[in-house]
Amino acid sequence: MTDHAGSQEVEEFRRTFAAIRHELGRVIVGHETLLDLVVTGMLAGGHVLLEGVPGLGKTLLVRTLAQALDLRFSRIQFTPDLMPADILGTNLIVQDDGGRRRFEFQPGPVFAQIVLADEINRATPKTQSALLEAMQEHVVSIAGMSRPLEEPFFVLATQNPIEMEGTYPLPEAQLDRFLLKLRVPFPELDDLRAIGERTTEPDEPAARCVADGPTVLRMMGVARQVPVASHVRDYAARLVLATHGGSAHGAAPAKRFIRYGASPRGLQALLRAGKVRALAEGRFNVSVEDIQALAIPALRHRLILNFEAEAEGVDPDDLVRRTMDELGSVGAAAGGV
Amino acid sequence: MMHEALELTALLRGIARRLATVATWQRLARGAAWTAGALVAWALATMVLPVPLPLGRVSLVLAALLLGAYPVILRLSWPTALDTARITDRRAGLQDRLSTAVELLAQSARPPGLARLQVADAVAAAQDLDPRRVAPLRAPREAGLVLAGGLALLLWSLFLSGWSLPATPAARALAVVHREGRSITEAGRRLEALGTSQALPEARRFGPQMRALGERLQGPRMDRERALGLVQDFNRQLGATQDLLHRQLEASLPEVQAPGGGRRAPAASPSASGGDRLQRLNAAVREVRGLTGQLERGGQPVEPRMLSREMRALANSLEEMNAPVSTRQRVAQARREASQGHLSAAAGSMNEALQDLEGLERMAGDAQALGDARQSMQQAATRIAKSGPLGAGSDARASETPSESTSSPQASGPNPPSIDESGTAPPPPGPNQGSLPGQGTGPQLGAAAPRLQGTHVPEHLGGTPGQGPSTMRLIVAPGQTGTSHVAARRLPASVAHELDQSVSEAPLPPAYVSLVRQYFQTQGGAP
Repeated sequence: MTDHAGSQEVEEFRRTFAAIRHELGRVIVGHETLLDLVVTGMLAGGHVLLEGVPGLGKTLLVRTLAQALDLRFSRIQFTPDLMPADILGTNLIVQDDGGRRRFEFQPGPVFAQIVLADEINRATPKTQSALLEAMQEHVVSIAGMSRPLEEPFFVLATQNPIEMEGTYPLPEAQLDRFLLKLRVPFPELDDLRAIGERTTEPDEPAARCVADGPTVLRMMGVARQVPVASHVRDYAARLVLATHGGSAHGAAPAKRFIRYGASPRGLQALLRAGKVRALAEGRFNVSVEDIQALAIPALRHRLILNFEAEAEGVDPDDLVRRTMDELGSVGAAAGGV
Repeated sequence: MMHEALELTALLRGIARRLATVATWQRLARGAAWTAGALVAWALATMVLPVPLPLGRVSLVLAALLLGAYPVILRLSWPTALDTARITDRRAGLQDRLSTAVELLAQSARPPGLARLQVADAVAAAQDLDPRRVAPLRAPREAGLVLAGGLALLLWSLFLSGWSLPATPAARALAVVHREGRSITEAGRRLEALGTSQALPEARRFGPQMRALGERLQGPRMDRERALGLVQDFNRQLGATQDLLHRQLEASLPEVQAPGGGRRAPAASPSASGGDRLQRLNAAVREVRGLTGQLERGGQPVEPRMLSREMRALANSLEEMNAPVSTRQRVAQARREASQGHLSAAAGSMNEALQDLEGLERMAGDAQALGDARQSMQQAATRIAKSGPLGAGSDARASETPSESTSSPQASGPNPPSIDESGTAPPPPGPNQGSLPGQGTGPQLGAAAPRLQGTHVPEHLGGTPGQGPSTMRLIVAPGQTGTSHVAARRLPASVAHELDQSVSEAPLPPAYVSLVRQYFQTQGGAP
C-alpha cells in the first residue's frame, strides 16, 4: 500500500464513519457515545449486545443502522417458544413441476447482514445457542451442511434487564461472543423533549444509505492495520489478567468479587475496538486511552461474579473501573454506556 | 521516512537528556535526604552515646561521592528512546503516538502501510513539542528535605555539638575526657615548671602546649574522638622531638663500649637508655663542677697531688662514658695547666668542659622529660579510648583517679626519690641545684651540694595527717606555717633565694629537692 492509497483509505474510513454517525444521529436522539460504540463494534467485526428498558430506541437504532448501511436486515423477536429452526432456517419438502419431492433449505432470518435479535433473553437457552456458531464462525450448519453467512455479518441483540419472569439469562459462552455490551441509558430531559418533538411530527426522519457492504468490509480491513504499541498491548493484557482473582496479576476487587475473569476474547475485543476508535479519532495508533475508554463495554459482560458480589449487588462496571485504578491507569474511563 | 526518523530521534534525544538530568537530581537528592536524615539522627545520638560525628570529614566524603556519582547516575538514568517516547506521550498528551512510531521504526526503517502514516503523524505531532515543557528542569521535591537536614546539622554543629544529656554514656565519656584533660593540664604544668627550673628548652616549649591541650580537653563541647585525635597528635609531636633529641645525644655521646669490645647490652627502652646516659652525665657534671670549684677557689690551698689524682680519675671516667672528644681534650688541657700550676687557666678549661657536659645533660633531661610526658599522654589516650560505647561505665569509674602518680614528669635527674633498702649505698648525686628559676645563672650555678654522710634508715609513715606522733605542716613563707587553704602567692626573690640556699644545703636527695622546688614554683607561678 502506498502512502497515498493508505491515506485515501483512511480518509474514506473517517468520512464514512462520520457519515454513519450523522445518519444515526438524525434519527436517534442523544446517546452519542452509545452510537459511537455501536458503529465501532460493527467496524471491529463484532456483535453488540444492547441492554436497556423497553422504549429507549434500541430497535430503532438497529433498524436505522441497517438503513444507513444498505445491508440486508432481519429482525428476530425472541420468545420462549421460538425454536432454533425459526432462526437458522430448515429443510422443507418441496414438490417441483415434475411432481418430484425434494428437500430445499429455507434460510432463516439469521441469513442477513444485520440481525436484530430483539429481547434475546426471552428465548430458551437452546434457541439462544443456535446463534453461537453463526456469531463466531459466520457459518450456519444444518443437516450436516455448512452455509456461510454473507459478510459483513453483524448481530445486534437487545435485552431487558428488569423483567426477570419468563426470561433466560444468556449463557456465558453466548455473552462472550458479543464484542461489546452497551447499556442504553434513559434519556435526559432535553433528549426527551427532542424525542417527543421528532417522533410526533408528520415526517419522521429516516436515515439515508451512506455505505454499502463492500465499503464496510474495506473499513474493517483498514482498521485491522492500525498498529498497536507493545506497551499498549501489554496494558490491555494486564487489564484482562487483572480481572482474574486467581491470577498472580489479579487486582484486589477481582480477588474478592470475581469468580472468573474476562476471556482472551476480551483482549481481542479491546484491541479490535481500540483500533477502530483510534482511526475514528484521527489517529493511526491505538493508545492506552482507547483501551481505557473501551474497557467497560468490552469487559463488563465477561466477568462472572461470585456469590458475595451478587449478594452485595456489585456492579461489574465498578469492578472494571476499580481494576483499572489499581493498574495505575491514567485518563478518562468510559462513561457508563 | 529516514528524514522523519532522524527528526524524531533528535527530538527524543533532547528530551532524554533533560529527563536523565532530572532523574539524576532526584536520585541524588533522595540519597542526600536520606543521608542528611541519618546524619541528623547520628548528631542527636551523640548526645546520648559516645559516637562522635566528624561532620567536616563526613561532609567532604559525601561531597566527593556526590561529584563522583553524578556522571554514573546520569548514565544509568538515561532513558531509552522508547521510554522517552512513552513519557513524552504521556506528558504532552500525544496518545502513544511517539512510542508507537519508535517501535515501528525499530522494526523497520520503512514501515509498511498504515504504519508509515502513523510515523508521519507522530513526527507531525511532535513538531511543536517544547522539550522544556515536556521535561522541565525543576528542583526535586527532596531538595527541601536536604536543605532542612543541612540546616539542622549546621545548627547542631554551632550550638549542640559536644553537648551530652546527663547520665548517659556520652556524658560519662565526656567526664573521662574532662578528667584526663585535668590530668594533662597538671602534667603540662609540671613539664613547664621542670623546663623552666632546669632550663630544658623542649620541656619549656611543650609544657604550655600540653597545658593548653589539657584545658582544651576540659571544654564543654569536646567529644571523645576529637579528644583522642588531639592527644594522639600531640603525642606524635612529643615523640618526634624526643627522637630527635635521642639522635642528637647518640651522635654526641655514643653508647659506651663494653669491656669485651662490643657495645653494652642494649637498654630495655630508649627511655631506660636515656636514663642511664643522664645518670652518667649527672655524675660527670658533678665531678667536673667540683673540680672546677676547687680550681676556682684561689684563696684555699689546693693539694696538687690530690687534684691531679682527681683530674685523672675524671679523665678516665669521661673516657669510659665516651664523652665528646672536645670535652676530653679540654679536661686533658686543664690537667696539663693544673700540673704546671696555672690553676686559673685550668679552671677556665674545666669551665668549658663543664659547659659542654651541661649542654648534653640538658638535652638528656629534655628527652627524659618529654618521654615522661609522652607516657602521660599515652595513658590519657588509653583511658579516653576505653571510654567508648562499650567501656564507658567501668572505665569511667576506673579513671576517677587519673594517672598523676605514674605519669607525672619526674625531675630530670635520673635518681627518683626512692629509698635504698640496704641503706649502704651512697646517696645519688643531685641535678642542677642552687637557684630558683630566673635567678640563677643556669649552667654556671654554684657547686654541688655536699654529699650526705649519714646512714639512711628507710621509714614509712602510716596513718593520716594530724594523727599520731607525726604531723604535717605546710610552709607558706619562711617562719610561717599554714594550711592548704591559705592562698599561695609568689615569694619575694630574696626569700626564694634564701629558701633555695637552705634546701640546697639540706641533706636531701637531689630529685627530692627538685620536687620541692617544683612544688613551690607550681604554687607561686614560675617567675
